[in-house]
Parts: sequence; C-alpha cells; structure tokens
Amino acid sequence: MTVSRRWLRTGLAALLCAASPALAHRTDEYLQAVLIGVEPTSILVDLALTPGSGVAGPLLRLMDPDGDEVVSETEGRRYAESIRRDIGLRLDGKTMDPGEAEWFFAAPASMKDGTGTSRLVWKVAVPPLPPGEHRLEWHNRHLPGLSVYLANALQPESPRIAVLQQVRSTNQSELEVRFRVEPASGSDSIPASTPAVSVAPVPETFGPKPTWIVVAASTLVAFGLVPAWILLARRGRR
Amino acid sequence: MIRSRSFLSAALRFALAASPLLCARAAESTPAIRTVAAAEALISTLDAAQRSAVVFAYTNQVQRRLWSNLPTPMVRRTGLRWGDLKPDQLKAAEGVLKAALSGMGYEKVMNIVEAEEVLKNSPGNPGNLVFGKDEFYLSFVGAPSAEKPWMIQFGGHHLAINVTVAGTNGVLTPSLTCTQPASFQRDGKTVRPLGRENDLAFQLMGTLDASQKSAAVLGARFRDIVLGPGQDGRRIAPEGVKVSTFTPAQRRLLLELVSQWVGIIRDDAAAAKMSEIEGNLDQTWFAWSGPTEPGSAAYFRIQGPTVVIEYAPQSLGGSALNHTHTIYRDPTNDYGSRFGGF
Repeated sequence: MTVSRRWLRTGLAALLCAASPALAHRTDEYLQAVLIGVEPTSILVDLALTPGSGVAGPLLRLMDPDGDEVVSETEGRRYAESIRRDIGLRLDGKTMDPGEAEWFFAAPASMKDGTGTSRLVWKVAVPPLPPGEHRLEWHNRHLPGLSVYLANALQPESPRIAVLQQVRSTNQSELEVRFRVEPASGSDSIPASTPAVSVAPVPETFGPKPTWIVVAASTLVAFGLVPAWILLARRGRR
Repeated sequence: MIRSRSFLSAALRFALAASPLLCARAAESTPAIRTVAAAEALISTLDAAQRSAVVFAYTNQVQRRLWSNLPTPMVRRTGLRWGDLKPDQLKAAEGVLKAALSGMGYEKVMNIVEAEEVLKNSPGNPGNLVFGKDEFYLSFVGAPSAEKPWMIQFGGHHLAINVTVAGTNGVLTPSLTCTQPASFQRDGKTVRPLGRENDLAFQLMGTLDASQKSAAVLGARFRDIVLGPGQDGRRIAPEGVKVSTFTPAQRRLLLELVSQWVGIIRDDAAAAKMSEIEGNLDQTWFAWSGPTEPGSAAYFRIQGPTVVIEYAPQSLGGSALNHTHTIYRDPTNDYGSRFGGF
C-alpha cells in the first residue's frame, strides 16, 4: 500500500467516526452490493458501488484523481483494476481470473450527494460444468473499514442449475454459493418435476364493459320491453 | 291506441334516459372505476401547469422508475408536490389514494408520511429542510382510464407506492414502505407505521421448531434490502426455510404477515393477489437474519414465485429498532408488466 493510500484510508476511518448519527440515510458508509449469477458456461459478477455523501469526497480521490468531475476511461480502468485486486473468485477450489470488468461510473456530482451508483460487471466464461454439486466462492476486501457489503446469488436462468445454499461471512464480504448442475438433456426445457406456479390470469378484456352490457340490458327490459309487452297484451285482450 | 302509443314512447324514452345513469351508478361501485373517477376529479381541480405536470406517458420508463428511499432533495421526484396543493386539491389527491388503497393501506401510508413530519421536527435534523409531509409527490403514468393500463405513483423519502390499474386489476408492486421513527405519539397514542409487520414476523419466528428455525436463520448480517430501488428485473435465489414444512397455523401466520404489504392496495385487488400467493405457498421461502427474540432488530425475507418481501432494520441514525426499510415486489408482474403496454 502506498503512503498516500494509507493516508486516505486513515482519513476515511476518521470521517467514519465523526459522522452524524441523526441522518436517516446512508451517508458515512460505502455500500458494495454484489449479485452473482451462475450459468452452465459462465459466471456473472455484478458489483454495485454506492458511496454515502459523507465518504464520497475521499472516494472520488480514488475514482477521479484529477478532480475534473468526470471519471475518465483511464481513471475508471485504474479504479476497476484496484477493485479487481481486492476481490477473489474461486470455482470448485480453483482461483479464477475475472478478467477486465465492464464498468459504469456515476457522475461524481451524484456520488457527492449520495445517490450515484457505479457498477462493475465481470462476465467470466467457464468450461461446461459437469453434472453434480459445485462451489463458487467470492470475497471482497475493498475498503473494509468503511464498507457495508451485501452478497447474493441470482436465480439461475438455466433450469439445469439449482442454487442449493448460500453461506456468507457475517459482514457479507465473503459468499460461498453451493449449486447443482443437472445433466444436459438436449434442450434447456424446464424439468417435468418443476412444480406448477400459480399466477393470476390476465383477463382478455379490460374495463367495465360486461357491467355496462348487463346493466343496459336489464334497464331496457325493465323500462322498455316490459311495458311494451304489457301494452301488447292489453291490445290482444281488446 | 294513441294513449297506448304515447305510454310506450314515454316508457322507451325513460329507459334510454335512465340507462346511462344506472350504468354510471353501477360502474361507480367498481373499485377500479372509482379510482379512475377519483383521479379525474383531482385533474379537474388542477390548473393547466399542474395538469401537464401530473400525467406522464405510460411508456415513460424514467418516470416509472423514479422512486427511491432517499429524501426528495437527493432524488428529485416529479408530479404534484403535496405541499403545493390547495385544500380542495389536497382533498382530491387524498381521494385518489383512498380509492386506490384499502383502509389499512391508506392509514399505513399516511402514518409513514406523518413519521416524516416527526423526523423533520426532530432535534437531530439539520436545517429542517429535507423531510416532512410537504415533500411527497403524486403522479400518473398514463392517463387515468377504465380500459387502458395506467399507474398511480405516490412517494417521497421512505415511501414509494406504485399502483398499476389495468381494467379491473390492481397491482401494487414494486412498492417501498419505510419509516423513521418507527413509533411516535399522536393524540396520546403510540403510532407504529410498520409495527404489525415487525410483530407478526417475530410471532411467526416464535412458532418455528428448532429444525425450521435453523433453516430460516441466515448466518450473515443484512444491513439493507437487496431488491430496493434500481433493482428492477432482478431475481435472487430463494433461501431460508421452505413454507412447505409449515403447519397450517404457521401458514396462516405467514399469510397474515404477507397481507401487511399485499393488503395496502384496495381490497379486491389484494384478495386476488393473496389467493395467488396462497396457491404458491409450497414454493415459498422464509429467511431471517438477526436475533429471534421479540424486541430485537432483525431482517427477514419472504420469497415465492410471484412475491418478494424484504424487511430490513437500519442501523443509521441511531437504533436499528427505530428505522426500517421494506420492499414488496413481484418478479413476474412489477409495474403490471403482465398487462403490457410499456
């Protein structure tokens, strides 16, 4: 760690201690929420980074070191690389290189007011996973002194993958996803054993049309046809 | 003969004149139509600038997703600002919410709004500018219609009510209900906007046996909701204990807990949604993080094929018991996506 980085971290820690206790939203923490998707031939890591307004200034010195209010391509790449050094991904005990992230950085102004969320997304190709149980491990050690972590597995899109269990460290900086891969059966159709899901049907027509028809018909019967029938009956008697 | 003809003619004229009135009266009794009527009544009280500010195109995805737990100065809302409305307009705007929501739902929403006023006047609030009931906004995404889908959005800090009205259907997802403070005094009585949610969850936890409890409790601390604002379309893997292991009494308790969110919308729409959720109970999960003793602060999640509910105490601004965020989503029908049109 360089001296300037150590200084920055010390400053951030001091800021954390001095933060106001009364505010109703996250100002003094850096929310790092990861969603991890497991598919038969790929792993997706989607990391959302939201600095509170109270820590955005020092963090922007890492993201936008020249302070021109824009996270440039070079600055973005550099910050993404620093995060890449702080994270880890292992599949069945084997360390994986997530490669270069796709990134989106929020406008520094929005980060300063606590609303800007930046995203780093890694799409990691993996060899076709053999049927059976597997284990994916994730850790994030980026700025632990001021960070709040959330780590969750996404519901796999492929019906061949079932997430069995998620085991996290207490602060969620670590997540282990235990999952099962079903054998490929020619198509990715939903297995017959999948229980039926009840979803309320969508009616074909909207609006009150049926009510109108019923009421209009009833009205005509009550006020039009019935008197007409009475009159006709009277005429018949005459 | 002439008398008979004139009688017949008068009867038919009366029938033709009376049927629209009778039809309208029948239509008014439909909750969805009452909601449309209330929205149109509000619009009729607005000036031209307000009218153009309140209605957005149904295809406007930016407006549809413009909701947050953050205060309005941080995330700018659009539409009619509560604090700018004249008394008759405010009454009409409240009428829209009363028509779209159940009695319980309206009361809960107004209690959350009132909690904001308490927060605004609390000693720790610097400047007294950020919070308060004036800072809530009402908008319509799509023109109010009995036939085409449209949305009512009402929200501000700690609140986002998104009601899609599609014909006779009503959809409340995604909606965000939060509160700080968690309790306050009104007319000598304690008001807890999300108290029932908290109490029922602990009551349910208390009924779980050791094996169920062990499956339900996740070994990590959840500092916030996972599927909050900006997480549209995300589906997370379910965790915790399967409701298929629940006894009938536990199922009833879980459904009562779920109804604290589902039941915010008007009764007929809530009943349809509850029936759908009940039909999927065997594929529903209940997860818990934190202490299980009543009076503690704990996160919980209910997740089924057509529902996700998260309840997350926040340790910001003092005690986590005093500040809660919750979200209610339907991964298959957020914003009424089943009805299309956007």
